[in-house]
Amino acid sequence: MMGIMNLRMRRFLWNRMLDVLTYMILLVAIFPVGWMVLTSLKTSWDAQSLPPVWLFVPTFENYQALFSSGSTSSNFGGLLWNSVVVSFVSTVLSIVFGALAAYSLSRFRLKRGKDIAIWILSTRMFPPAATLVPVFMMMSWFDLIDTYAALIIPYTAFNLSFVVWMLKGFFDDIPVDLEESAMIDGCSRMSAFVRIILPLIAPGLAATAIICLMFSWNEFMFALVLSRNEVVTAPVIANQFITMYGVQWGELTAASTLMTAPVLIFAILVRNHMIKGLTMGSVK
Amino acid sequence: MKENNPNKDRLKYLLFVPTMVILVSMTIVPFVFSLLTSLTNYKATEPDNWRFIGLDNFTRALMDKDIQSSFVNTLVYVAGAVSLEFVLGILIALLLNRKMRGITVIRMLLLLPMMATPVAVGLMWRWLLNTDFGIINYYLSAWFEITGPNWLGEYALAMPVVILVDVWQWTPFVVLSLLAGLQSLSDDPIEAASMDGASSWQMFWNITLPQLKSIILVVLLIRIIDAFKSFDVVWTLTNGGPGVSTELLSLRVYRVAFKFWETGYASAISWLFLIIVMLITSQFIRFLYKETPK
Repeated sequence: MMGIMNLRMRRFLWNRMLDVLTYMILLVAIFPVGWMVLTSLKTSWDAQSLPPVWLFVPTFENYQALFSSGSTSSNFGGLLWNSVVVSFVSTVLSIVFGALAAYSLSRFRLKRGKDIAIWILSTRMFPPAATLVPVFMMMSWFDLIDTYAALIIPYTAFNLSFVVWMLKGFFDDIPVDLEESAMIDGCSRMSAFVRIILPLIAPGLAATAIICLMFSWNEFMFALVLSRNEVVTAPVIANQFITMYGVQWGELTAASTLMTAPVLIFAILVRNHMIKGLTMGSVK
Repeated sequence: MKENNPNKDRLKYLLFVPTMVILVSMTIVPFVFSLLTSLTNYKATEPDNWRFIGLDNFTRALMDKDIQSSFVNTLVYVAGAVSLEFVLGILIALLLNRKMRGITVIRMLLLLPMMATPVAVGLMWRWLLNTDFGIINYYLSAWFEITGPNWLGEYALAMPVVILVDVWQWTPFVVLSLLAGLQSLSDDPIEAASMDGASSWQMFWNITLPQLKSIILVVLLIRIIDAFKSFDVVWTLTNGGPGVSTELLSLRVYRVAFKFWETGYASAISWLFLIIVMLITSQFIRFLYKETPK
């Protein structure tokens, strides 16, 4: 009797210890981002004071400063708008183009179809830094530096292999009979695709789109090289809060929060598909 | 619906046209283009003054001390970050695979580090780790009376710290993937083994791990590929410094191309970078195919 009690007791204590460990790990995982959000709500004085201020009345003055003229980044709204344009357009393009290619790969017997699929997948392996220089030269050749196109085209390309691979998986899961019966009823293949197949894969499509959005929204290296003044995106300027104006932690954390928030909100909306998406469909 | 309808035949290839145009123009065309520039001494600042110099850029790159050190840095970074992420990732996935309250919330919170904008991540860590204003060194001295080191400013420390930030950001990805894998496993073999009196370590090593093998290999491949691509976090954390102690190949390419404006030389480095990454990842994929026959 005592032995069983001891065993249960030990198992119980062991489990509580593991719980505490879990919460500590969780704290480490969320602290930097949490601290960023907290700091963005402090006055600029509190933001840089040591010892750190834990209790304070939240204020939005850093956010107001970001959008008011005369501050260090008077056009942060414009930068966010550039990020929105570039990421949305490139996401829509890669989803539309990718869906067509994925559908063809999934439904038709193609000559060298497997080679095409593998080639498309392999473009994801190329380190972007290796194409940075020639893409920069091509964009200057066509006089596209500092235009939306200069960012949208590479971002679309980077997302395409991912989109094709993901959507091919979703299409493969849908029985061919569904669209064939629709086609017997008089639908064309294209309208069967739009009316029957696309609605069926809508959740997966949404998750795929959000991962594309996340990539384009967060991208830094190409934005740094291919923009000058007109199409600078938010991540590029965030860096300059340190290098150009001295350090303004209140505004910097507010800007970082504004950059991170949309991605997080979208990610939470499709959280059940995030891991499947990020592992390119290999984890269900 | 005839199988050999010529319209359908044309359609199935037409569907590839937009994807192919974009992918070819952003991969094959740039690679050919940079192969040509890599054979010249072209500088983007003096566009009219260049000539072919054969393989000089490549021989120069192979002898270049800075390239060699950024190559070693890249390998250390990829190997260090990915292996730590896997050791920690497996342990934390097992930790979360117990019956726990609030597991959905925990899983959601774990998305935070990898979803946060990398530039913001780099800047936040740079601040937290700052010697004078950083909260980490402040609490080290306030609570433990330890004078914290200059985390990002010391040669020996900078690379491990940069690796740890990558570990912070991407371990959750490994955790969540493996957790999804763990939860799709059936309990039967584990129950049978525990009836037979197997220890938890034996069960993990002989039953759970082999079942997770294919997921582990795929996630490993994805992490290796993405770690080679790292740029923004390191850029904002250290910008390659101190000296060149955390300069990865991607940062080196950027510096040579857009700080020194040696476009031809940077193209040669880009090609070497591409070849290295393709060699390593293709070897890994070959290994992966051998290990998971389908």
